[in-house]
Amino acid sequence: MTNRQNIPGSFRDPSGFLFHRDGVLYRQVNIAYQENYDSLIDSGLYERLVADGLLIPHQEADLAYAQSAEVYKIIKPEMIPFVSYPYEWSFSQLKAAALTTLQIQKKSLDLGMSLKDCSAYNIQFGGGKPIFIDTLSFEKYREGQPWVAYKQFCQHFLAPLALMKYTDVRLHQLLRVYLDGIPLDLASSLLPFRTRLVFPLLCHIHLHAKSQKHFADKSIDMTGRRMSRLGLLGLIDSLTTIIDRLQWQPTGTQWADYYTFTNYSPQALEHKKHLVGEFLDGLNPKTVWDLGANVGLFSRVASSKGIQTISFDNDPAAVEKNYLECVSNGETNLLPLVADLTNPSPGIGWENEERMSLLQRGPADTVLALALVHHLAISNNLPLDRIAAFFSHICGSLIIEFIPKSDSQVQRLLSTREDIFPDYTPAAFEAKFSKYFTVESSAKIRDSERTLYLMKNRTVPV
Amino acid sequence: MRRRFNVSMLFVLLTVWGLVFAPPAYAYIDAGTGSYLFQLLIAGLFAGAFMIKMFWKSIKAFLKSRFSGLGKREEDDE
Repeated sequence: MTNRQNIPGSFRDPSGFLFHRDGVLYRQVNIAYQENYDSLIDSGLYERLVADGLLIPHQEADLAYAQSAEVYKIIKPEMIPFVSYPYEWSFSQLKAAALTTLQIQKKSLDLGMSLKDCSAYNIQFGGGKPIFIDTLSFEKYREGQPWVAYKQFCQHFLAPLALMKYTDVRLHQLLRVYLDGIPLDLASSLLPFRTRLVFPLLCHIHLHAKSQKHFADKSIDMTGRRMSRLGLLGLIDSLTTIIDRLQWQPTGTQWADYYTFTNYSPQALEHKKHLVGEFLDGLNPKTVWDLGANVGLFSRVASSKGIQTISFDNDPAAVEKNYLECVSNGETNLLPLVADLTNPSPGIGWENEERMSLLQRGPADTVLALALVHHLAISNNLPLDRIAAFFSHICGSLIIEFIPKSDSQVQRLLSTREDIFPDYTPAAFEAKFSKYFTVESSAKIRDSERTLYLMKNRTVPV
Repeated sequence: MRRRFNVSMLFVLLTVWGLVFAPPAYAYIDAGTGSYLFQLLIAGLFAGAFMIKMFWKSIKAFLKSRFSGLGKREEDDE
């Protein structure tokens, strides 16, 4: 008995689609894409991109796995450990994805091919680096042909990066609203006037948006309208130069300086790290999600043990710092992502299925929830039993810290509001979590009032 | 030098060939009329900027190789 399921995120391109069979990911290449697929292989582009770590490698698989009569090939791409989306990336992650896409386009043109789409969703992070995952995005370049993916590149990469730099770094969340990238007229209206003085931004965003508006309702005969190869190379070079120049410094946000303003003593911090490491050794998980990870101090306790670790935080500055540290250390099994746990990424796109919700991408073997519960319970008014239920959906085991009201960090949260949390006690915390978890172990963190628990899920996470 | 000239000539010929005989582009995503025509409009500008950039790069590379070559010859003479 085989279990087949087409993946909703890949139905738009008639060249082929992704499907699962017996838990393995395959891609069907349709006959309509035969010429381009053969060119990708025969031109040497596939081999070159894979060798450079820019394109996901694949193996050709048995045609018996075909999902329909239009099949030309079945390929089995290498699996990415965790699927993430552009609205979950920090500034430098989106920038790295943009530059990778342009690098691929340049190499493609060198070998007579071109990218026929430029969706940011074609990039994933694997082994700490951005990698292109859509093997069917290449087509033969025809002299004189403009870049069909130019608009998409500007909407998916340039507009969000410019908005993050010049307006507000949180505006990459617009990608969650606009599935095909931020409309250029919207980006143009949100960007400050001074961006009109930056020639590439004036061109690729502001004038581009005006051109779109001007020709929106006009029917134009495209026959005979051509673009030189040199013009195309100049366009790619201009996009590369401006994206390379865009920089954003993570300063002045809520968490960016958290560890310098914490009430931890060095002994408490070291003991907490030691306990987390000890609990992880006992569990031996393959995957860890560190929720509220800040700059990833404790995520690295997991990732340094070779565990695939996702480091979530709602502060784009903390995630940026975390990612830059990953790049600087060459870390391969730690992926920092922006996520607001009180409003995690939902399923979006057609039928709410094209991009998965955060919960659909779980569960993780183990979740770290360190110095997190008091923020959820007190800052966000979430009842402890609802917090326990949420964790039971996303992990097999839980390493969780409880910080009592007497701790100065909790006192700080209560200083500006009425204390309406009579149930926020260690006893109530244990009782509420015991409904979903068994407490395997607990330990007081030295030189603090905090307790660290190791819990195992009683229920099967969904 | 002669080889570089030939490559440049071939490049110009290919560009002209492309400008004259290229087919219209169709894609499964909507390239957008405004985006498509805008590219054609700015193509000349970016082509020129790119040519100047490449020209400048080749001058720098030439001077670099020239001076490093001179330095090497002087070292050999010594």
